[in-house]
Amino acid sequence: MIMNNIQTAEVNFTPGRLLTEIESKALLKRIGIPVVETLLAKSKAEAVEISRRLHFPVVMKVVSPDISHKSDIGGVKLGLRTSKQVESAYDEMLAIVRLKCPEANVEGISVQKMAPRGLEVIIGMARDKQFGRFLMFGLGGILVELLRDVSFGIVPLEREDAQRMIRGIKGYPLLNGFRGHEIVDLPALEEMLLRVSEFVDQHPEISEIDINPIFAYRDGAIAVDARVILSES
Amino acid sequence: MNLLSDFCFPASVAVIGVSADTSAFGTLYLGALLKFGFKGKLYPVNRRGGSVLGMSVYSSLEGVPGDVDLAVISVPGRAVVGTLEDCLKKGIKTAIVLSAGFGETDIEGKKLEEELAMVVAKGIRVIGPNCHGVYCPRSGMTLVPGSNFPRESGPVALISQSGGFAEMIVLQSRGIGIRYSKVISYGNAVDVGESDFLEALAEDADTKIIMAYVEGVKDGRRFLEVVRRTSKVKPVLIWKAGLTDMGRRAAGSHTGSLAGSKFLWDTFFAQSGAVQIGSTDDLIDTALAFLNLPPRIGRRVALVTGSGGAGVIGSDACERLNLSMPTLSAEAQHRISSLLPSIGTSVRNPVDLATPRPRTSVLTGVLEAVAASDEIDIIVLGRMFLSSKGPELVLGLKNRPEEYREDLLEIPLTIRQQFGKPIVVVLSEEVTDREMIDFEADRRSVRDFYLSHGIPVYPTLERAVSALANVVRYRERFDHTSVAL
Repeated sequence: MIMNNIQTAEVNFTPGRLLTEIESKALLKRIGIPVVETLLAKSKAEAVEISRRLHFPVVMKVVSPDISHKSDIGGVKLGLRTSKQVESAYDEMLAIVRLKCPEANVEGISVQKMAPRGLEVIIGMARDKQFGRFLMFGLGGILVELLRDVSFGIVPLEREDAQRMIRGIKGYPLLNGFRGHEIVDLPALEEMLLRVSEFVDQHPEISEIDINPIFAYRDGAIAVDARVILSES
Repeated sequence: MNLLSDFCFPASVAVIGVSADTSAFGTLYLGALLKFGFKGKLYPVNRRGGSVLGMSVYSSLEGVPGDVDLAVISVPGRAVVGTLEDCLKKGIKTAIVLSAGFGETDIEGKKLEEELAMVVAKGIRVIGPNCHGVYCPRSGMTLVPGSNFPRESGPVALISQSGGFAEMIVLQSRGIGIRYSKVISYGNAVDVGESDFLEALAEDADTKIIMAYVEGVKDGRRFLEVVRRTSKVKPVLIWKAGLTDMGRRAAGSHTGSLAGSKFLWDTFFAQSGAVQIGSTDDLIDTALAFLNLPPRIGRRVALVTGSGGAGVIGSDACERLNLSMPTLSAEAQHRISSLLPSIGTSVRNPVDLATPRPRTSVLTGVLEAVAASDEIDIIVLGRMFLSSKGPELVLGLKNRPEEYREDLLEIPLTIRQQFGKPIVVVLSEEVTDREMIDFEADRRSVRDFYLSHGIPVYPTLERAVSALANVVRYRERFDHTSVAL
C-alpha cells in the first residue's frame, strides 16, 4: 500500500515546506487514507465545473501559503448548493482576501464536496528528541482545544497500540454509543493510525502531520482537512 | 561477543589507576574485588608501580604478563582516552570506565565524551564512564564499594545509571531475601547502554526478573522495542527518574542524560508493558511480589484484618489501583459470622476480626471460609500479630489464657497449601522507639519466616496492595502459562 517513493507530480517536496491541503490530501490518499477529494480551481468557470463533477453541496477555500487561518478572514465557504452560489462565493472570497490580506499570494480556490457530518476526531504526528516520531489521537473540533483530551503512541504502532490510543481518551464513550450517539467505525480509525505510523516510519522527510478533522461514521471514516510539514533537510 | 559473559565473567581483570592512597576509587575497587573474592586473575596498574593492598603494581599495561579480558579504569577523566588506547594495544576488548568528568559536567567534559566514543569505535566495548562497575556473585565481581554484598546469586538483575542507587538497592533488598544474578551500573552509557543490557538479560537463563533505574535513554525507539520484546518473556520493572523540572536538571548533571517528557514516557509504559515503578520501595516491593506470587494471579482480593481502619485503608488502596474486592458469598459470610462476635466486626470483605490477636480457631476458620470462596483470587492479611511475643511486647498482654498464647504463624501456610490461594502478609512497624527494639526483632523474624516460605511480607497495606497491583497488571497483559518463575 505504501509507496517507497512518494515523489509525485502532485506534490512539491521542497524541504521544510508546509504542504497545501490539496497536496497533503494527495499524499494521504496514496497511503490508503480516505480523504475528501479536493481540487484546485484557477477560475470561476473551473470552480463551477469541479463542483458539478464532485456533486453539490461543496466547500470552497482560499489557497494561499500566506494565509494560515482562512476561516478567520472569511476564506472558507461551506454548503454551496448551486453553480450560482459557487460563482458568487468565488468572487467574494477573492475580494475579501484582496481587502484583508492584500500582500497574500493566492494560488486559487480549492473545491471539495461537503462531507456529511460525522463525529470529529483528529490524528497528529510530531517528533520527540528521545523517542522519535509519535502519533496523537483525540476528539476533534472545540473539544481538542478546550479539553486537551488526547492520547499518544510511539512509532511504530502495533494494532493493540492503536486500539489503546482510541480507547485511551476520556471521550471514548462518545465514539462508542454513549447516550444514543452512533457507534463509530473504530477499526477504520485504527487503520488510519496504523497507516500514518507505517508511512512516517519509512519517510524521514515528513516532519509533522495534522489530520483535523476526520469525520468518523458508523461505517468508515474520512479525512476532511489535513496539513503536512516536510522536514528541514 | 557475549555482553554479559564478557563484562561479568572475565578470567583476568586489570585495575588501572590504583594508588597508594587507599581511599582512592581505583584502590577501593581493587580492595572490594579482593575482599569479595573475585575468582580470576587481578592485575593492579599504575604508572608509578610499587605495591598496594599487598599486591605488586604493574607500571604499565604492556608489562602485564598474559592476556587481560577486562580493564577497569579509574584514572583521571583526561587520561581515560589514552588509557583506552593502551588497552587496544594490549588487545583488550572490554573495559569499564569508573572515572567521572565527562558529559555530565561541562562543554569540556562533553568533548571528552565524544573523544571517548571515537576510541570505542576502534574496537573496544565500554561500560560507563561515570559508573561503579558490575556485581555478579557467581564470578565474584562486585561494585565499588560492594565488598559486603551477598555472595549468593538470585534471579533478579538490576541495571542502573546510578552506581550509588544500585548499591542501595542491593543492600536494602538483602534483608528481605532478594538476590541478584547481575547488577550493572552503567553511568553515562557512552557505548553499551540500557537497550544492550536488556537484550542480553532477556536471554540470560540466570535472570527471571529485570529491574532498571533509568535517567535517560540514548535511543528511545530502540529501547521501546527491546523492552516490549523482553516484557513478553520476563517482567521488566523500570524506574524512570527525572520527569520533573528539577529532576530533569539533576539528571543532566548526574549522567548527562536527556530525561525527556512525561507524557511520552507514560506512553512508553503503556506501549511496552514494562512495570512502571515510582520509588525505591515500589521497586523492591514489586520484585518481592513477582518472586513470591504464582504466575497465574487474579485481581480479586479478600482483605482480612485485625482492625476496622486497616480494612478501610486497604479497600481504598485496592480501588485506587484497580484491584477488586468482591463481597463474599452468603455462605462464606455465614461461616465467618458464626466465628465472630456480631458487634464491631465485619464479614463482607474486608473481613474485620476486630482484634489483632484472634484465637487460633477463629483465624483458621475465617481464612478457610475466605480461601474456599470462588470469588477470591488472593488473600491479604493485614494488621495481625502472628507470633505469640508480638502482642505481649506491644500491647502488654501477659498471662493470657492458653489459647491466646500459641503462635498463629503456621496458619497462613496451611491455608495456602490447602486451598492453593496466594497470601500476602502485612506486618506493621507497630512501634518505632529504640527502647522497643525487641518487638522489631520479633517482627523481622516473623517476616523472615514467611519470606523463607515464599509468602511476601510488607510493612504497610498500601505497599502490599501497590506491589500486588503491579504484578496483577503485568500478568493480565502477558499470560505466560508456559513461563514459570
